[in-house]
Amino acid sequence: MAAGGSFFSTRRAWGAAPPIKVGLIMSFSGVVAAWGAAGRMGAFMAADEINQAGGVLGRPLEFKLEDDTSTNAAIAVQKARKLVFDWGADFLIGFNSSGTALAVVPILPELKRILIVPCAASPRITTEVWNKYCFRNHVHSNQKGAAGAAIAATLPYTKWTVIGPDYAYGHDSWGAFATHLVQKKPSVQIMSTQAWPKFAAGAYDSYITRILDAKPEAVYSPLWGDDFVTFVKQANRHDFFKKVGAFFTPAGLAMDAFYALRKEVPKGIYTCAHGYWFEHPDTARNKKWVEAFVSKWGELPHVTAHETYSAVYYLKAAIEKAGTTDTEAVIIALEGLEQDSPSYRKVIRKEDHQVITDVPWGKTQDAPGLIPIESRVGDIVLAKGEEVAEPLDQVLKRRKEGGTPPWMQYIIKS
Amino acid sequence: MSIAEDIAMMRADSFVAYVLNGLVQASCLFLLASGLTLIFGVLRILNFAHAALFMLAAYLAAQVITSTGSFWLALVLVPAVMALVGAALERALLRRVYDVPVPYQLLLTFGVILVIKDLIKLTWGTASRTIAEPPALRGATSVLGRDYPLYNLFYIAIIAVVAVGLWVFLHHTQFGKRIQAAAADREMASAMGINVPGIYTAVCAAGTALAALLGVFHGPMMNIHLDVDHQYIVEAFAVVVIGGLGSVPGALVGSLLVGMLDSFGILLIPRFQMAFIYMVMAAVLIVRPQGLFGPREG
Amino acid sequence: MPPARRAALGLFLSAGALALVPLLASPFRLLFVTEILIFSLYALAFNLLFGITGLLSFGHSAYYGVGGYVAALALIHGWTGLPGALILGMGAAALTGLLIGYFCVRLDEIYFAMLTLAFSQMLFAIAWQWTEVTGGSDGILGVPRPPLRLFGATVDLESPAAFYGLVAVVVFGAVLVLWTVVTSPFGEALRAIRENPERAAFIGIPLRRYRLAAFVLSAAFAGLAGALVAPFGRTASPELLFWTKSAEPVLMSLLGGIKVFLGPLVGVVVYLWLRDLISSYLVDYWMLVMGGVVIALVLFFRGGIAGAAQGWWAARLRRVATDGVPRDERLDEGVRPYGGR
Repeated sequence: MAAGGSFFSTRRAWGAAPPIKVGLIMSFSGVVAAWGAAGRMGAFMAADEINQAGGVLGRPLEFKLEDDTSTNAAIAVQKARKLVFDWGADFLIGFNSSGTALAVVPILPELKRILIVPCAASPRITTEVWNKYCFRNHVHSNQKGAAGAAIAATLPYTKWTVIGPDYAYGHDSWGAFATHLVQKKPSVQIMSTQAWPKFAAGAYDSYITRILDAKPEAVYSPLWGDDFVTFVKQANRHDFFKKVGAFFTPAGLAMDAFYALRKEVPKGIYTCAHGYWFEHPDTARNKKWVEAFVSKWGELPHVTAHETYSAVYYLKAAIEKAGTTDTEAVIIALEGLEQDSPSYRKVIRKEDHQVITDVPWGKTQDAPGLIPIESRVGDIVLAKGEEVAEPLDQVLKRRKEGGTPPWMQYIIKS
Repeated sequence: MSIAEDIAMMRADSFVAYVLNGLVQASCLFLLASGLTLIFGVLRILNFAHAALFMLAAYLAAQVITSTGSFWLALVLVPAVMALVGAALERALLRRVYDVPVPYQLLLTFGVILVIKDLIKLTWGTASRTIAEPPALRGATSVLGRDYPLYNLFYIAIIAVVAVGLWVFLHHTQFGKRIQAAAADREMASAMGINVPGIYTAVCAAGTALAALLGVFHGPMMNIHLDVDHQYIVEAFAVVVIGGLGSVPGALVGSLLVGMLDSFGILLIPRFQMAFIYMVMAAVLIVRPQGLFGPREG
Repeated sequence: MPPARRAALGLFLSAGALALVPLLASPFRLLFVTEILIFSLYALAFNLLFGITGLLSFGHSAYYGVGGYVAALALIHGWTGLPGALILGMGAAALTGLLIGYFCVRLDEIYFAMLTLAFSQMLFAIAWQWTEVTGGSDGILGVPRPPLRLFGATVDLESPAAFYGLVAVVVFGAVLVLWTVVTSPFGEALRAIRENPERAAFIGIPLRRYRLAAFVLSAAFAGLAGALVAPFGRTASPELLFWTKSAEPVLMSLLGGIKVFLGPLVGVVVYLWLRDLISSYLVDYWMLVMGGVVIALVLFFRGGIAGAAQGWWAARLRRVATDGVPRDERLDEGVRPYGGR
């Protein structure tokens, strides 16, 4: 894939209309490269549709891709500056990993450009480090945690632990889940034996042994991307999933993991596929979108493809509402903006620029007829967006106080 | 939970599991470090690109396995191809820098890393990949009453065989003895009629083949992506330095030490686990710079 | 032209050139030049130990990273303004250099390199796992650039141009200090140590103490570069301490030429410029070209770019002058800090 190339997606003659330039910074190499590739598909699909229908304010959308290499904060900052100062990006969409997103959000005032985050899920992005240029059209860990905890609280398990990547997203994801779980079910015991392998660790045997020896009844895992795939391969060898009562992963089992693991996907584990599973909701609109996606790209849509698609349409709507590409005007246009995404209705909350939308959690099951992945997320329970949204006063309080989120007490690295 | 409680609570079967996990780590490090130290011992070049060659082998293995579905074919094919790559590397590049100062040698092999990486990127793209163990080696088996992954046991066993084989080869074959002679004194070996340049090429090929073997064996245990070499190369350096630069038995002991530290580190003090290896490395260099098994110099 | 006047002219010209950059460059180019300046300081500091003293440190990321982290901590907690953060970062790096250098200067060649590597990786591991202070693998994000109060005036450092100005002044001053060190009797002694440690010891140079002094100085200025890069990139993350950050000044110094004072600077410019140029034409395959350049450099131009240029210049001078020009010590083919194996 040409990670640096510029993308002009139409044969139509645009005459003198200058393109609206959108920089897409995602992980096109490294352990979550599959997520960057998915993000590109969704964004380009939206851009193709929009350009074929006459563009935005009569101007075509032009994209340029930059690779944040999955892990490198300094590179992410450099690429963001390059897109704005060198290429002249009008808008930025970006970041799979919260590590790189959190590094770039603080420099947005320097760039004076809007960034829409369609994937990275650390709540800090729209609370502690937030500034007015930062938007997220995707559910974050607190929303997913609240929805997951509602299901977890109904299960008969009380001893919970975690195996997660040792960085902001991993901590926040588990912390938010644990907070909601303890609130809903005070008898839950958060174990002190936890496993925090580093991002892109590659080897999990000793962590698996350590967790199994502590005999948890249920395990939560914010591992994702190739880390989760590798973990599953190693954990399967240890019969890990049969030895714990329940296993929850918010982002581990997104479409990339289904493609990589296929029949090896452990059955009966809980996931929200990072916020979107292509078979849900069972509406004509979603079906039509999935069909269009499959015919365009030859594969099933990944959650990140869905979200970058939505991000591009958000930009279109806001630019048209503002009647200009001026950053300040588009910020105001985006605040409170509603969207019927292919899946659920989205509303960007005015105060923190965080999307409020529904969250699906389901259970993995065999699906021999579902070619080519042969597994699926089934029995989906949908949590209502308003019910799992972080209360505004809490967000504003955390933004004002800064520092570390309150749930860090549940992260125990001994 | 305190460390003391952790130890007190540890049952015999857990202990065995940690030892086995440590052996897996040690096996991995040994296969990488033995090639590195062998090449250093004979060529006197610290090959920075060694882990990049291991990474290349892992990509090749992934390719062979995806195309043919056979792990075992990869096991034969990849080391053979990589041995040729190693030989070519010595003939084309390393041979020209035996007499230049160390920094230039390091720089040359560093340049090789850059070239290898972009060649991988050109061939296979930037997305990472994983490979599966052969179906026969899936699942777990009971070791002293505890289930342990079959593949890990196979991995430990096979690398133990390689270690023994390497020792026999170096000490009990004619060719191995010639290698030792060439390593000890180049001029003398040459005067005795040993084809020293040929030996150098062969050693570089063999060392690279060892890294390639690891590329195949370790493939099912890791994410294969363009940055994996970064971590492995410093760990291999650490092992080689701890054991003694140029010493194959040293590499074995160094690997075992680091492997166990790694495994039990995750159990006891996960916070310091990453630093352990470098603490040992520094301590050895301060107290005994030539390493545990290196010959005293000067 | 007498050397003193030549030096003064050089100073004047380079200060003028630095002052002109913001007028001529686009914001992105300005960021690029800022990056070049910071890296040049890092490489020059590194080369004080490598090219001048003859010790190949393979762990200079330790000081660069400590400088970066300490400055980032000072800024994010609001302990000091930017100048204070720079001083703190530099001081912390010097102290780290003293502790590590104490052990390292006892070793030679590959063992010295490996011990410096071990220490830097240890610091890398600490930065990674001491989450409460360092932010773990995320690092310290959103490092602020508080406005600079200078003689009653307040300079807002948020814009690329203002920050460039600060970096230019600091780097220019630091390079002057390094130049003074290198040309002082102390610098002469360091070169003597590089050329022949036994002989240097014999004529009464306290080997270890001088090496340690060079080590600490080199660490301090590498730390200053790190303290600049943290507010520049708005982050201090473990990558600052990773060994690849130690490899960069080695590569850049050798590329530029280690026996010429400003050689590493040439290396930095060429390296970063090539990277930028190649990656805009060949998309992402700049490493291939850079790898080829590095290999060619080792095989054919071991003096580096500045070394080759100086050699060419000297050869021209020799051709012009009838009675021959005394060979400059720095031109010796022996671009070998250790005098070979």
